[in-house]
Amino acid sequence: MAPTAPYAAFQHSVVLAEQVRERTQALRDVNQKLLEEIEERRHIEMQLREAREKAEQANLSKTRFVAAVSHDLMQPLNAARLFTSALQEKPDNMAFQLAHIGTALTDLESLITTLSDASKLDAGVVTAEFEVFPLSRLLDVLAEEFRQIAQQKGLCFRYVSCGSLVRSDSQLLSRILRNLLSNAVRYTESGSILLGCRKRGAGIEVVVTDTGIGISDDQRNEIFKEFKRGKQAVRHHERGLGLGLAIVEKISEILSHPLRFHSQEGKGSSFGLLIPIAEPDEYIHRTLPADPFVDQSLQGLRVWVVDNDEAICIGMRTLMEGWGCDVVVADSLASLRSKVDTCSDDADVLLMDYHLDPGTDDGITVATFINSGRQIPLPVILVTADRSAELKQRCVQNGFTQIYKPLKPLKLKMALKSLS
Amino acid sequence: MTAAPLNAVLTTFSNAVDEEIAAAELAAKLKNPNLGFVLFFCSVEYDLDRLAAAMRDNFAGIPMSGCTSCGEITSKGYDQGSIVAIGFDRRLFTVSQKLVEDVDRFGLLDAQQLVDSLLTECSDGVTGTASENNTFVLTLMDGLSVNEEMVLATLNSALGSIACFGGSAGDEYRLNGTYVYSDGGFTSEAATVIMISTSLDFEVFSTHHLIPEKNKFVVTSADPEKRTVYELNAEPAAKAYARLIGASVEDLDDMKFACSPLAVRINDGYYARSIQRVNDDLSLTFYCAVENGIVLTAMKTDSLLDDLETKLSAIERRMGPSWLTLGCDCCMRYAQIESEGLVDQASALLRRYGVIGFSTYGEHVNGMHLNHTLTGVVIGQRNRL
Repeated sequence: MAPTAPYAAFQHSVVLAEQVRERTQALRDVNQKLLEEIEERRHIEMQLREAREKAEQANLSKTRFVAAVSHDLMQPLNAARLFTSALQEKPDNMAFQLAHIGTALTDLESLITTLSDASKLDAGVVTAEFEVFPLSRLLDVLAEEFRQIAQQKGLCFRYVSCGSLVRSDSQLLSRILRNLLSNAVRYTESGSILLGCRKRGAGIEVVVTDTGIGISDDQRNEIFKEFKRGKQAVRHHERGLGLGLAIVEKISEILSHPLRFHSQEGKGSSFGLLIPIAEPDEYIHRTLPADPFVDQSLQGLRVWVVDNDEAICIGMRTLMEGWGCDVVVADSLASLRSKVDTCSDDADVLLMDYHLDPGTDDGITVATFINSGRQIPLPVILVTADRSAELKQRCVQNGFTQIYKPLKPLKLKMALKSLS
Repeated sequence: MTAAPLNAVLTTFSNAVDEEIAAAELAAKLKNPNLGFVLFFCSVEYDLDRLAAAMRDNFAGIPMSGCTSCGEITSKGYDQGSIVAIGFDRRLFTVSQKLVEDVDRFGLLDAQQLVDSLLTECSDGVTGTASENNTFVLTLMDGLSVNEEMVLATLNSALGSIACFGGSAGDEYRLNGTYVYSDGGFTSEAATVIMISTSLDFEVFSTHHLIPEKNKFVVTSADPEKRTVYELNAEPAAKAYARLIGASVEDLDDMKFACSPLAVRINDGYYARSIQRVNDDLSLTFYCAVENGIVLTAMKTDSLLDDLETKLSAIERRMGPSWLTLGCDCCMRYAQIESEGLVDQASALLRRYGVIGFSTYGEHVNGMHLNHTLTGVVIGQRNRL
């Protein structure tokens, strides 16, 4: 029997209401999902926007940097050119002009080294190689060097040494301290610079303090950014890329040496780097033999040079022939073998460039090959810009001496002397 | 003339016995230049003709609707013998209303015409075009007309997706006559349909606290037109029910009906059928539709207050603070609370959520006529998005 009207109407309403409820719920679920998706997209969009802003910022910063750096690089270059033309016109004051050219090129080199350091740090290829050494070994050298620089500028330089052993990477540590000391000298007009040490907790804090222009509070965070120089520093018209403190901060992070600084505008700045102290039993003492080569002449030293860069080959030949060496240069193994018999001809040193022409063996392989054909292997000096630990390791394994580009005549001379 | 501070709704009540005084008290609290509509619920203790006249006089020109109740819910909680009223601010609400006389002849065509005219009036107000997003409908109906199911189902078809809820007028369990107020007078065998448009957020809800038990009856003899069941499981209905709850037929009263309700199951839901009275022939008359052959499931009552708190707090979490909860509360709920001695606690909870309304002889929601529920609307303080 079909239900009569009132109850049927009720039943109908209930079923209808249920359907509505189900559909509403389904709609609400879909709606909720949509809202979540929208939220997610909004989030992603925000991240993208942030990333873009960062990229634009970085781009702007690089552009500004390229403009600044071009100017800074051109300056010493222009100076060198001026002195060169002066030299062409009036060769009589040669030593003076050459000295200036040398200074300009040294400036240029230091700028390029800074740039190259910064880009390596950026690329993350720099890693710390920790060793234990007496801190004074490093500081004494720096102190002596900067004492002279400071004195040239009429500044008083004070140095407080320390007898502790520390655990650090001496090269990277030296780079930090050089940057800090250069800044101290650069931004101090009068007064003094202090390089000191003090014990703090389980570490030694190396402090570089100056009585220079200082850094205002609102610049505190800015100065560690790349290509940023403090307002006062910019006004100072000093040459610099604004990379120094960025490099310092990055390296201190790599070394995990906390860096702190305080400064008062117009009064001076003080930077402190905290280095962990090492125990004496961790230190492997390497006594350096007294330099036996000081007076040894390079006269008659037979050097074979393999470098694929013709200009460098010529430079090397000129340089070493100036020292009295007997030089054979070649741009490849084949070329060398066309000039000498690598198996039986006498020679004293093989000067090998590491990166030879692309697609050919590297310097270590070539040197190893040459030596494998000789009764008595030649001492090898490997010239390279590659500062990786891996290459260092390979050189040590083969007993090769490594010297880094840019090649410094004094270093090369020392290396030759030590091998001859 | 200074505008009153913005209160979307004002509510007040009067316990005055005299109709004129009661109406004057309400008017003193509610009347202001922005009063757009008054909704009230009153006890049948009042002389309804006198009350109607007093309300007309005191609220001259203000549209009003209302109905008699089985008990009032005022700003103090449950009350009896009083009149409670809500004033709607015309700056936030547009209200249109229509009286349906002859509820037993209310057809779909009538419903469509009625809804069209309500929508037209409301679309001319604060929200612009009235739709389910800004409009709900309140139905008040003679609670003894036995016509709710047909009227509500018909009206619901015409309203489409606009939410619709309400309650059936009561008369404090006297079962003599229940009335709706519209157009200045009280009418029986009638319904008043009130459409309210607002930009404020609102949520129509209906909640109950009943859980099914094992026992079931089949209705073996009933008169659906009179909502009367003669036999349950082929036995006189009152005897069968009395045995179920462990009472004698003579002891059956509103409290027992309230505490041991019966319900029909449709799909997965249970819908309470409250017993109105035991007749001399041991048949049972219900407050809402019954039918031959339906199965009535015995229900047990869970904590009414817990359920209420859960429901209203959930809405509050969603919607934030509210101006008002307009509630149509089944008279059986009050009977249960009273028998459990929880009237004060219940009143405190109703106050806490700002519930104003009345005890009904049945609740309406989206075309359904139900019992044992609290059904109503929460009007939030924030605008609907």
